[in-house]
Amino acid sequence: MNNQFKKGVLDLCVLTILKKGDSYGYDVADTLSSKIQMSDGTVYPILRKLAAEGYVSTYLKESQNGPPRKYYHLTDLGAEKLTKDKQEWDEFSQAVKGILEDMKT
Amino acid sequence: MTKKEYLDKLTRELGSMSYNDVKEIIGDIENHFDESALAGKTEEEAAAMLGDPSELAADYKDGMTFPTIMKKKEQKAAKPAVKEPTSATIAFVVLITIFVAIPAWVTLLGIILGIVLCELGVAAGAVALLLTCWTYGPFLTSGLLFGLTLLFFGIFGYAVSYFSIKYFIVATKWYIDSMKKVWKNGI
Repeated sequence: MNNQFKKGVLDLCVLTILKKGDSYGYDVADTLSSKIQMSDGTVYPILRKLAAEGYVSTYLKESQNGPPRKYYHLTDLGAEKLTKDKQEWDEFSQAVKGILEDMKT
Repeated sequence: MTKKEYLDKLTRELGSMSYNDVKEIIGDIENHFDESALAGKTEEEAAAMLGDPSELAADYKDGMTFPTIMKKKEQKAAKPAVKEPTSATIAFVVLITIFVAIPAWVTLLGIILGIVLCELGVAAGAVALLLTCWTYGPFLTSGLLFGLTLLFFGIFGYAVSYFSIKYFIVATKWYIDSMKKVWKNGI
């Protein structure tokens, strides 16, 4: 799939995953790359950007069998952004779908 | 590519970023390798799944460009979003305003008006006394003294009314501001 295509929507996917609960980088990457064809690395710049913009916060948490994990938590601001972006995406994808279906007939 | 090769290449590609940024990013990716190892992947597999380090570096750079900094500022400025006041807040502001603030305000206004009027009378009286002092005859000294006393009293009254009006305005502003704050942020 076209890379430029994915980039914008991946932010939305990452925010959605974090809405379900706090998570760490590897887990987010694993969840996403199991569903969307993409490099694991892609999520890290996204997480970093979201943190810089205040949409997610980070904290360290001990893990049972490895180094402490950096967890990401969706902030109120992030939750707001998620609601807004999701609505925009829904409208946009509906519109695109409509256009593509018109083309078929 | 091994973990070390991957991280070295990534560090080189990130080149222009600050030391702290690079350190954090490398830490994140290093952790990813460690987690991958725990999940039973080899370093080569983990590196392949992470994708090309130069692409990753480019993604990091994309995310950290000027617009990000601008957005951060805009969000900070936009953050005090208008919160709907709760019913408790409304009740608090309305009750305090009606039963405490307005009576106190009217009372103070009355007192100040009284002071100002009194002061005007005193000053006018003093000036009139001083102007007509040549008609006092034998009572000139006492009349002058009385006139001067009244004049000083008038000046004193002027100072009192000046400050009371000033602080009355300041207090009114403060009250309105603090009620606005309560309205916005809750009690």
